[in-house]
Amino acid sequence: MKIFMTGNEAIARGAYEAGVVYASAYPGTPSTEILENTAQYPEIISEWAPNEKVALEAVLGASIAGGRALAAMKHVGVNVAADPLMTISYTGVTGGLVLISADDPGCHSSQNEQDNRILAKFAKIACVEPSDSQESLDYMKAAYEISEKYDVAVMLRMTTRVCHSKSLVEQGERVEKEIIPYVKRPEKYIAAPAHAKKLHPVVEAKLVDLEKFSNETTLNRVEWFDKKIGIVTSGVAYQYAKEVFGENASYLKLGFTNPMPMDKIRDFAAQVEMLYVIEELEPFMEDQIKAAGISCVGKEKIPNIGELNPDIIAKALLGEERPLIEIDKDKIVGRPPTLCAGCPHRGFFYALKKKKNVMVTGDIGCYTLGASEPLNTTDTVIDMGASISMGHGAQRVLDKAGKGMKVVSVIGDSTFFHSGITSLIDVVYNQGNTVNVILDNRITGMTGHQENPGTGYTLSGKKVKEVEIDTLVRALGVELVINVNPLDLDAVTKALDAALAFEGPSVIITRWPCALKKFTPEDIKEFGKAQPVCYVVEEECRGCRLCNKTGCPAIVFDKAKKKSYIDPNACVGCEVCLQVCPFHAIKKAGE
Amino acid sequence: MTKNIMLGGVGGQGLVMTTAIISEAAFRAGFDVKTNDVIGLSQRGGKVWGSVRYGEEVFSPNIMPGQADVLLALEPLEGLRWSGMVKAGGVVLLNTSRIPPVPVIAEKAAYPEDIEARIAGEGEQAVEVRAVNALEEARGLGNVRVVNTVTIGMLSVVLEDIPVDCWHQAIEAIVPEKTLALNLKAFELGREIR
Repeated sequence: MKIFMTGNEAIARGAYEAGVVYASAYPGTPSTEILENTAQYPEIISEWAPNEKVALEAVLGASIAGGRALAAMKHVGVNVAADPLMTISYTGVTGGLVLISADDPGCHSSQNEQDNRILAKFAKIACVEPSDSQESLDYMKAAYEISEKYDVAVMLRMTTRVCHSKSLVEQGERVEKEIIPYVKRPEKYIAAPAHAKKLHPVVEAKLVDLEKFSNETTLNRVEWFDKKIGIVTSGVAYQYAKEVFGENASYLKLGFTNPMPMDKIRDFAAQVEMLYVIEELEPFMEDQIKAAGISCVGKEKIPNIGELNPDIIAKALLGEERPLIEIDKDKIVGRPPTLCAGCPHRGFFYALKKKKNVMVTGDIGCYTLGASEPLNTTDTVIDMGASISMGHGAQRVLDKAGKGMKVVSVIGDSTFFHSGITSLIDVVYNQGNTVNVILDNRITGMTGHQENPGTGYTLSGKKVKEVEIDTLVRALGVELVINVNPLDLDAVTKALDAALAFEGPSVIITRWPCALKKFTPEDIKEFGKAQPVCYVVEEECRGCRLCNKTGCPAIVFDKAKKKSYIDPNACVGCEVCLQVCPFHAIKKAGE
Repeated sequence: MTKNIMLGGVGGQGLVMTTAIISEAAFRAGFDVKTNDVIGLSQRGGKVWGSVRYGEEVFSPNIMPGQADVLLALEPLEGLRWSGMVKAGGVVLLNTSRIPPVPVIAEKAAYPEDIEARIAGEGEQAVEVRAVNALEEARGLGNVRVVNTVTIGMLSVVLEDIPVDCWHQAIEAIVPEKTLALNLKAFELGREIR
């Protein structure tokens, strides 16, 4: 019986059926749900790692110990994991190893839209690309066979659309794989220079074998229809091409894209009048096809920027314009994402905004929104952990400039564990002078509430010892550490004043749960239960709009009445607006 | 023929679950189905969209502009935003309960007025708009959380090729058990709104 699954759910199912025993990941859109789903199968030990490099290394260890294993991450996570990745091709694997790279064309939830097929080629590993949920399941199983047969890691390249769209899937049964007995093999797994030199030619030989496989495998299949147009395509772009061209073109649908099946492509190209290459993002296939002397049309017509869709392809290749109804586009108001009502980050950013002559280096998470209206606080956001290290470098130069400007580096709890710790060591070791703020909202928020080393729970819900940020940063040698409730504006202001005045590195830890978090028993003990909502006493409101300037989406200004209004369905009673109101016009329900 | 249903709303409104119920119903009616959701950064109060396509064989999960048979808008401004996806003569189901976006809260833009008329258009450009304050309807049932199920009821009337028991099964499969009775009530209420 078929069931309805997202690509991410199908990957987890594929891992289960393939006999995978170990999975590790760091959450990141659009990959997060893969591990949340492998964790549903008791046969697969599923773990959140503090970052992607750690995840991939743990998975490599599992493979060397003889089990089938998977690491899952978003595209930029593979950058973090690039160090082990570039050498895994040399060592190869024992148990099958699959690295799932979830790329994000269109930057739906990412800082860039890199095409990681290029990383697969760079790392000299195999790459498979599913185009829907059924293929996500099937290709996982195929990837493990390839991995073990050719002694190679396999990148399974997903994209947001394949990860998150749902389609019908025929499930199979799990086939248990016996754990391969461990044998010490230093010449394979110690990548010291003497071994690495010998391993490199082995890698090149494997790639020759894999190209032969690529030419033979049914993962790369031809669908013959009209031969006037031939289309080489992969991933979700295949679905779009089918949607647009139907039976008016023939297809070479590539599921195995590194190494490319050049013989199969040459043969296909020879039988069609016109060859198109339809692929998302970079001309990964097109460049190789052109380099082989095969003429084709690709990126000169189809953009390498943003996510593709059937409409773009139809316009680019067929010049098709669909009749559209007219709408008043100029009346449409934008709706950018915003910190939620009651978000603990709001109080902190509101207090920080008042500080003059500061540069704020930010980081990746919900608190990136501290950069947007009306808080407009953050100056930079680049990559995970960069707030602290960039802030340190910036402070060095600002000190030289001599205008007294101070850096405040802002990072979330999960991001701090991911790669902020080494950055903070840099600051302490080099006797930096920045204010480092760790916004601990007791969960990994942006990706939809995943546990992390600081929450005291694992992915499978097991209660464990939590890493205490306060203890950790003191152990690193930070002398000024201030713990503060971010919803208490006076306390945050005092903490910032003290830290800004301090000579040497300081850390402020704000600690309050995400407004959307389901409280654990420990949270209830520490933070209490739900708070009564706030409301505006109309007679006392003078319409100054200061409460609106906190950017809370629960507060609306009624222009006709010249009064502010708090939506009781949205308010969670955080009291930030109550503290901001100079006329004490905001009260708690029941008061 | 593939049927295309576009959904628009605001992060946190429950668009993902709404999409799941619609697609589950189409699946139970025996169709091939593909869907899309937006998950991630945009759920923080930003605009979100989804799509459901069903028919004999569906390739792309994305709907091309001007090809949506129905737009289900969980919020009026989002209805206006996505109305260009609807084909002339298509149907727009609109929950009229407003959620002001940040530029409106910050008084940097005005919330557009007369959204129903703007979407409806005229002559060959016209689409059919069925508008209701689903939030108030849900409140009337005793729980605003079933607001989207009211609009799903409205949608079920438009999608005649999905039998009503498939909708019931889909709701039962997806909503939390303790809210099932109320959700079914909200669904029936939605079916009465024309």
